[in-house]
Amino acid sequence: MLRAFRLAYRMQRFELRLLIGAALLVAVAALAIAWQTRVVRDEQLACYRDAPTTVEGSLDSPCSAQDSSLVVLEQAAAFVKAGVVATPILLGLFLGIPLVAREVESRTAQLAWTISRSRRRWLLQRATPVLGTLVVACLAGGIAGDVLVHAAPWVEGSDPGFSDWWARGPQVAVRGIAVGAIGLVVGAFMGRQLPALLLAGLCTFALFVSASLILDGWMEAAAEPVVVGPDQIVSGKIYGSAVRGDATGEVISYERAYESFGESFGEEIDEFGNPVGYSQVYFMVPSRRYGEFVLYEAAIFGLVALAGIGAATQIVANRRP
Amino acid sequence: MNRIGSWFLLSFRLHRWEVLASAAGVALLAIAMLWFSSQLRALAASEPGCSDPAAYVAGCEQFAQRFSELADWGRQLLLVSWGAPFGMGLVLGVPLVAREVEHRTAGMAWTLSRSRAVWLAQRVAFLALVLIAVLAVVAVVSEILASALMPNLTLDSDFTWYGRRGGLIVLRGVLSLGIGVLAGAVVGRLLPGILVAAFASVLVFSALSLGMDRWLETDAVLSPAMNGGPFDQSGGRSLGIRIELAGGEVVTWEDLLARGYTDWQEDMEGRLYTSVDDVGQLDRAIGWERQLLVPGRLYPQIVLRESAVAGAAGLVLLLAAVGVVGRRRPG
Repeated sequence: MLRAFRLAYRMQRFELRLLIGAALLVAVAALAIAWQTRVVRDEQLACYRDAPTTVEGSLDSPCSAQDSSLVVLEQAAAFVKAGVVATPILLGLFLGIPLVAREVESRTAQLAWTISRSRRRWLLQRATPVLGTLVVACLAGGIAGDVLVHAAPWVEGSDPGFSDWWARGPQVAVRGIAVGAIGLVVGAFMGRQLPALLLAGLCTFALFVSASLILDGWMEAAAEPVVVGPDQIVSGKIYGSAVRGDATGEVISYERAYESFGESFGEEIDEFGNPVGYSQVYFMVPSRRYGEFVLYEAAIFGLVALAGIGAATQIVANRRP
Repeated sequence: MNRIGSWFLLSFRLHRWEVLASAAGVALLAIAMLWFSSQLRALAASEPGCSDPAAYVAGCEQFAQRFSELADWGRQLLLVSWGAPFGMGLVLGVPLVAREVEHRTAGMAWTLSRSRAVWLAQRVAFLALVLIAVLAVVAVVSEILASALMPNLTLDSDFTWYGRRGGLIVLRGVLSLGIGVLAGAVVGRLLPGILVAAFASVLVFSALSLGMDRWLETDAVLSPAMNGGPFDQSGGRSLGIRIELAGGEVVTWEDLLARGYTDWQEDMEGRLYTSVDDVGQLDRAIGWERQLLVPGRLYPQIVLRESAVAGAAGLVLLLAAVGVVGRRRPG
């Protein structure tokens, strides 16, 4: 196995150094920004605690140094999150495509396949170290992204819910292996790197759009009515709102409420802004179901990865070198 | 077949995939842009009473809503036209030398040619022609779409969607081609070359953008800021907020902070005071908040200037690639 790793490293030295280095840089930057955000946030809270009462009408903040530092850190975090989103795509495409396509394009595939015991074995030995490294790099990015999202001042130890879905979590690694498998199969099929990069890029775009639409559809179908109390903080993905009659417990949409009760509905509102006798209800997927949908997404991308690797094996076994 | 014909055919065969992919991409983009343009124009013509879709006019709400939905798609297409020169320049430029080196055919090609510089010039000339032709289509069609999206603007003197329409797209493509050819020649491998070229593009175009903004400041004039008067509607390009001090000096907010003005108040006309008690006493104002604005009438001049800089930078990079190819080992 060590030999396979050494060979893979020699064959893709430049891409591995550049891409894995960039991915680790993103992960380290995410952890550094998360740590710094927590430090500055603590300083900001301490500053506001000790600050004198502000003059009425003044818009000045007594802790402007910390406020502006947090704004800068938030902007930096947005860049790093974009880096985490891009990590599986770039690593998957640029490490997956050349595995077979470069050998075919350089006409070295015939020699490599002849001296190997079987083509499938050759592919296994070439792909395993590269895809393994890709998974580790993406996992590092996903975990660091998770730490970064949890460090945001607005989270403050609570549940961030479904926010920054694409920029965090172990599912980043599953996405990486799926894109890598797409690169592998397209590269094996086309046998030329640049056309494969264009086609695999399009396939990856289609996969991400489809997965996003499918997941959104599942989440909307799973949305449940949650009554929101006046001083209650809700966390989750919200798809709509309605009202619930306090006496009857019936949940009705605002449109139906206006149709049924006419313009008089909502004329009288309670101290929390709700129509008297009604409570506001959100149709939402609560944050506690985040893990469940992570698994659904991992299943989609995992299936694509398995199908891609299987198809690439078949293509390599049957194609002309 | 004459020499030009055989040069054209050979070049096309060598870069068939890249050329066909670029042409197909541009054809799809152009068709989509023209379709949206015609739909927007037809919609505008169907409601002659609602002349400005961007303005609120009583009775035109439904028209404005439908126009806005279509226009959202059109704006996305203009984003694609902004990205087209970067993508196409790299896809066409990087493989030119990198693939020959990677396939170990560079040695033979360079030996058969009169000189490496002539070989590179012949290859680059074909790709530059293709690039300019396809990006010229994007440039023209994006102007057509932009005028359909904003029928009430005079886009010849307006910075709206700067860089997403018009001839600048073509010259940015030339610069991107230069980056791609040079990166491919230096790295000598296709996919790593694309990675390096993409990274270099970000650096080069960021530097170009910052440099052009600094240059633009010499053409900019001070105009009332958002809350100091009517916000600029004349198609100008804002370069940010500045403070015009009572003595006539123009500084940034950072300069003001550095001079010890850590606490200030602003009135409704954009005058700045150091204390809330001074607000309204005009003689106590320390200055005015202003917007640094490049007037819209300078749009053609600025486009020409940036196009010239991008084109010249592209040529310099191509010359650098000639130098690299002249010295590097063929495999």
